[in-house]
Amino acid sequence: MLKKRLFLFIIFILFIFAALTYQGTKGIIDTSAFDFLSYPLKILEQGISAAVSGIKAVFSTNSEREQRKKLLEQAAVIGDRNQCIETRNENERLKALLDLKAQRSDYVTSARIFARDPTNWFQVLWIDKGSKHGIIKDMIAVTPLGVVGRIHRVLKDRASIIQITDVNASVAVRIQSSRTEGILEGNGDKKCYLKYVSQEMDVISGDAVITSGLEGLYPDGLLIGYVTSIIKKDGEFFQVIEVLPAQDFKTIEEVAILKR
Amino acid sequence: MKAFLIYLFLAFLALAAQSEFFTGIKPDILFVLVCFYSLRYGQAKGMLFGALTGLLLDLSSGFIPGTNIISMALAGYAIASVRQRVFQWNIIINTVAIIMFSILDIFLVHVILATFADIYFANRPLTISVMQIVYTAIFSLLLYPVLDPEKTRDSLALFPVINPKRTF
Repeated sequence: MLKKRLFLFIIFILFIFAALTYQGTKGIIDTSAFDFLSYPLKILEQGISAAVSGIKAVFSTNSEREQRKKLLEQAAVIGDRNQCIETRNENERLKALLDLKAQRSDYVTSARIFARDPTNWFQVLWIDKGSKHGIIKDMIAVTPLGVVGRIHRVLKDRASIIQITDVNASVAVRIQSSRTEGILEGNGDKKCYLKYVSQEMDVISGDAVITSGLEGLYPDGLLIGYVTSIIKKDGEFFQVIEVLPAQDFKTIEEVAILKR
Repeated sequence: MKAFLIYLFLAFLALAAQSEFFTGIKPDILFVLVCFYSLRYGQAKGMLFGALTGLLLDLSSGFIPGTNIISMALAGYAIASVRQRVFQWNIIINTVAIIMFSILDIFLVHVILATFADIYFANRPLTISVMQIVYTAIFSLLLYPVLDPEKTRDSLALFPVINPKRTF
């Protein structure tokens, strides 16, 4: 009995290794069975996302203490007031996205983020629009504040975005003031590293970093973030530049999708 | 089967909580659930539960499905194997075991992703893994009184099972 179980386990592990090897070369297996398995999770996550937004509407939207005090005093109207503020904030964000739509000819659609990666390995966001809304792999996700990332996986009614802070993300960029070019890589946390910039180049903390479009994926001229620190080590040819993205990924709620 | 479904439901909740509530470094609550389930129900069932939760984690992660299936299944099998060799199991041994297997899990995921997906974590600060382990340990301490793996099947507070074959 034990040998049979062990044999089945080894077969199972070998099957998973074979599937991993296949996916490593051919790309991710997307079957309807996988979609079916993750469907309850999507419903649950969307429900929790809506609940979190509701709680935020009550507690978090009033950052100013005075405003909160007033609202607490007016307990009878607190729900309505918060709802108004939340709606106003949402309107402002959506208006900014609409402005973006008017400015850019490569605009595809806008989408709401309903889940984030549950692990610490990847920086992935899930949006509520997919292939039936015209989204395809490697499209670009942006907000009015800056670049978010690129579309990685596309299902019928949802898609995942790899943030620029992910360890798999690399973007061809340039420093706006000096036009120095380099490759931006995510650090898997909140920041990015701008690599392959010669130590001879002068880079100043606070410089804006924008996409250069040289990798053929991101359109050029999109704001990525700002230089926060520069590390120069003796004996090394390149300097390492730390970049803080302009968009705070923890508070992002909607994105606009642009064509490649 | 009932306990399996309840744990699966808890896994869904944990996954949703990890996706929604933790925007920075996240604890691995699913890993804690797999460990507790394996400690209570043994190697085979633990491995099966680990594989299923690993699949859910892979699907919601948006990357190559398979990595967490292997790591979670092995974690379930391994912690149940260790349990068989330890006479007295308590909250301290439980937490130490979860920390140790958490470290091994992180190492295994690193190796699998580097081998099969060419994904390297050279830029990733070590503090992410360290804080993940700390948070996971805290969650294992918090969940121990609720999902105590040392309670026998008959006296489980959360999932009582009546044994019809029992003779008095």
